[in-house]
Amino acid sequence: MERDQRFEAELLPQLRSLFGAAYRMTGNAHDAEDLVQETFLRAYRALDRFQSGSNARAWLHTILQRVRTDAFRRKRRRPETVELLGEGPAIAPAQDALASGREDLERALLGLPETFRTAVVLRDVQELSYAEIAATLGVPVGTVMSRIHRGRSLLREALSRRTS
Amino acid sequence: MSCDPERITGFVDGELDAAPTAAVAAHLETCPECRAQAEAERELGARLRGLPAPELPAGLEARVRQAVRVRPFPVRAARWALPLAAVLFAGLWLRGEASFVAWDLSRDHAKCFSRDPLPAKLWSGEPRAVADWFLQQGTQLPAVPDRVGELALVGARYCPLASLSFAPHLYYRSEASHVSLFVVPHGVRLDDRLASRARGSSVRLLRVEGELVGIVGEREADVQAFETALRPVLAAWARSR
Repeated sequence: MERDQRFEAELLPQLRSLFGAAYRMTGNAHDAEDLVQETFLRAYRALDRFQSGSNARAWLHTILQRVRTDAFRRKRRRPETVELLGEGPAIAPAQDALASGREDLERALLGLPETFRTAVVLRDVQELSYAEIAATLGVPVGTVMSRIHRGRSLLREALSRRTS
Repeated sequence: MSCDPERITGFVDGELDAAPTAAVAAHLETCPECRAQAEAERELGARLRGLPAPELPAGLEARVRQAVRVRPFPVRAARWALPLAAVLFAGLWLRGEASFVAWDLSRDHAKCFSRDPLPAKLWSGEPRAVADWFLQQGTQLPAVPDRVGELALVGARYCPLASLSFAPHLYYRSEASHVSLFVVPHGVRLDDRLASRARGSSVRLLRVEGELVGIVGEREADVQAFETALRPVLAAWARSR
């Protein structure tokens, strides 16, 4: 079936990258997996609307943001789940990571307000352009620049507090 | 140019147009603070990009494949099936709803009597002839009167109702008004009697020992007279069935 072939060839190769972003956004592997699964499912259903050759990762991120928004709405209607943040990352850090301050960076990133974390992850982890991020989030490019700027400033502040 | 920290961010990311890029570059030559910001952002960006991608949970790829393979059917089917099911459900529910049936009968009454001539399939003022005609089509009628007051039987037909069924429809007419008599074929949720007005007509639904009859007329007095005349007839009819 053509849809299956396109899905395999154009979308599935982005799974690792998208999971990485989802993990950075949610802070735990379980939520990230749910997010990514739902994203790919919706992407599969909407594959007719995806133009071959355009940026699959950016398109998937647009869907992922929608899935997140829906999840936030549902979450607001039910009790808060326990974040794993206080218990360390779900995937145990390697010893050298602790030494290099990687864990500090990961925690600082997770400590950012949602809006800024998303912008920073899309830019600095996913390496999307401002225009792609703007399309993904449905905001003007100027807002993207402003959010990335604010996110990085907050990250730097958090990191300097940790080291001092 | 004066200090503009957001622009420095855009500059570091290579996202500014040529003119602002040149302006920021020139500004950085002279502003140690902005230079420090640019440095710090570059370093931070490098550290973020250097974060190793978390390991893909075992079997995630297979689960994603499984999810999309299992569920493509509902995707397409749901687009049509769900609204269709909703309409069918609403239709089935409504056809059992007495007030909807009352509306439906008054609609058909108004439609038929707005035609000239009436869209009767059978022209007769003889109750016996009308009953025989319906019996030939497979429907048994109660012993209807040939006239009630000024209103005389003139003809009959089966009328298609919005609730997806056909009801025997008997036409009564006088100089001044009209009355319709319906035998409602399907199960309607009504214990005894419903008196209502719909679309400017008086409507009566009468349940007599399981059988349901509808009376519609422009004048409440006519409908009331038909109800009184029909009660004993209907009781006898229902017992005979």
